[in-house]
Amino acid sequence: MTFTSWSFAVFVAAVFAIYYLPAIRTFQVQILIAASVFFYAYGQPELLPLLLIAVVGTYVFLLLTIRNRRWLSAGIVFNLGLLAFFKYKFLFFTPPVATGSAVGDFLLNLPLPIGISFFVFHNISLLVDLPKQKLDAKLLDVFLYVIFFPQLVSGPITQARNFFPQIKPKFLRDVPVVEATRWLVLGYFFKLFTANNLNEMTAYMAYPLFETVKTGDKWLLIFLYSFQIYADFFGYSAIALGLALLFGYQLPENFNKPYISRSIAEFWRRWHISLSSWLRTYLYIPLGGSRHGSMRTYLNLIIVMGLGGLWHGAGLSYLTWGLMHGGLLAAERPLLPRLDAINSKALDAGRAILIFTVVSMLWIFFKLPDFAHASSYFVSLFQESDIANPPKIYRSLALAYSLPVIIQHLASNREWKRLGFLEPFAYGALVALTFVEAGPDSAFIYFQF
Amino acid sequence: MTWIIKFIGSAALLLMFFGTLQGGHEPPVVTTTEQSNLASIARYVGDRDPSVVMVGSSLAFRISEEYFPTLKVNNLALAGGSSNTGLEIIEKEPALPKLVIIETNMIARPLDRDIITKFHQGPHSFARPVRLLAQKYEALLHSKSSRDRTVQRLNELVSAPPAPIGNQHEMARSQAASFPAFPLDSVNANLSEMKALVSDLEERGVKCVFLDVPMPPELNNAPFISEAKKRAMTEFPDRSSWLQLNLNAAELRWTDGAHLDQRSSVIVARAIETSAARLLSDAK
Repeated sequence: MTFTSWSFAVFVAAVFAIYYLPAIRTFQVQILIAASVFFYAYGQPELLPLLLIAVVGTYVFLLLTIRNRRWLSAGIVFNLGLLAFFKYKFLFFTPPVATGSAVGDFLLNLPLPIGISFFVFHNISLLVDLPKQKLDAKLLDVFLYVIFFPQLVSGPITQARNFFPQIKPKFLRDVPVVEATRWLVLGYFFKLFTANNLNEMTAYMAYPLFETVKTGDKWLLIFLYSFQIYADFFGYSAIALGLALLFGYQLPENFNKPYISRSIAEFWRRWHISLSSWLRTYLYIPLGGSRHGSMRTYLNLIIVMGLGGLWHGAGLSYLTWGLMHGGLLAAERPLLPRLDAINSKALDAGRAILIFTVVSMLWIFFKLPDFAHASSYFVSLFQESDIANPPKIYRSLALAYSLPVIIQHLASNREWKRLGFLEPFAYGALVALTFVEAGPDSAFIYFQF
Repeated sequence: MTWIIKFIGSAALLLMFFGTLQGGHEPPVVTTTEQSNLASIARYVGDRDPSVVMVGSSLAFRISEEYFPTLKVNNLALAGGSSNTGLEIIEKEPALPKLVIIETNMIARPLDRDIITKFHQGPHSFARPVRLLAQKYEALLHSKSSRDRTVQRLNELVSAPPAPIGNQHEMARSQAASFPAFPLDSVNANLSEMKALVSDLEERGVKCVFLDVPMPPELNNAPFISEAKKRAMTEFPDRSSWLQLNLNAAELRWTDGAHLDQRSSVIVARAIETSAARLLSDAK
């Protein structure tokens, strides 16, 4: 059941209606859990037991960790083991796999569970935070935290310390309807109007289609893909935020205009904020962070970003993407204090353009997970091509569909506030545009992780 | 609550406005394969006096109608589609053409009833303002050339040397490697269906001929293509019903290892026109 399907809208409406019935207020957590289980099973019923094993297993390790901190490592290894097995088994086995063992065959032939990268990170956050913060660990609350359907599939990765205090009775009168509506409208608009339409054009980045594209258009396509992946992921995150608000939960924002960043470090403070926060809290800082001198700091950055790349997918492309981000973080680090001290709008703009260009080029490894194809595309950006019959990419449409991302990044909060009484009409216009101009359906990019 | 009322009200009013503008069958600024196919079907169905129609897949789709210097051709080839879909569309229309050219390269693809159903569902309910504006802008930038200028431009293209071979053999090998195993049952079923459709059209006075769109040797030798071709020739053994193209294969190039580039498409179109014109005059 995808967020953009009509069946999902019916599902949410039904859960919402039941959730706020006064007679069953004491069972709100159970209702959300049941709804989340239904949501997950709708897509991959054969993997529901895995999800339940992951949650119950983590809960057992949590109880053990509360008694004795030595169990924390075992709990983390349990979760990382699940992630490693399901995410990376196809590096070693090609389905259909036949080992001779019924259990082995069943496990090895299971598809990648939806949301595994996200719920494993939630489990680890749980294991670390709850004992430390001495927060209560009720099984139902743990279930809700891990499988809460707005964030189950692709985050945002909410840290346990921020989610658990919110688990309490919810009232209809407290639902921030306008705020939830804003997030939902923005989310669906960015996904359906921007991302899905740009997806039609960036289809020419696939192999071997990109061999028929002129060099200039190849550059255009990588920038369009940058806008697409942002709109897709921001759209998903916005929908998740809006949905969570409907049920009384505040999830963290995942983006803060990442493409105006003046450095890679700033980019990672603005892009997929919940992931970078998680990596900083649970990986970078335990590795030593920046506490052990420059060289160790650079190494930590490269390790964390490399692992972050692998988290996205089992492939050389994702590892390369992560390592390159890590390398750039390390390379720019000594220069940042001097650059940031210079008060120049022209320099800031130049830096933002450079970072946007670099980030866009690195997205090639996301669009083309096959390393050979990604490298070929990369190299061809710097070679003039003689293409006899190139495909037509309508620049007018490319601009029209990219405009929401550009406007969102360049307009300041003060300028948004100036909308004033026009705001509800503007959101109404977004709904109408979304409905009539929605691009061909395409899965959320981050669902594959 | 006021915010919500204004929000819902403005969305509803705008949707009603776009609904009154209403879309058409032929979408503005075609960008998807499906839209392109629906546009091709709309153009064919809108022609009350078809003469020569070509059906097939994206291979034949590349041979644009404007590449035929004198012959009036409707290109009903559907990207990602099959010849049987085109034949079904022709069969159901009251106005029949004199000649149908049937591509036989992609026999493995079945008849696509979904696209026919989608076409008959009617025009879009809502106008698409962004695409309409883009269409107006593109029309301003690129006004349609006259027929004579188009022919002159194509003559210049054909007179120029072919594009460098580059890595097209490698791409063709890559395409061939991506083909699945030869689907014998599907091909037999599709050929039976094609035979029935051809038989029905011929009974109603339409001449049907078969066309093997030129492909690189790497693809021609792939079992997916070569086996299908053998079976098509077995099913339709009359050699006179196969278009013989008189052209120099060394002049042909394929952009992605499978689809003819523009110059090659023009060359093939002219070869088809020569053969088809002969067939039409023999029929008289």
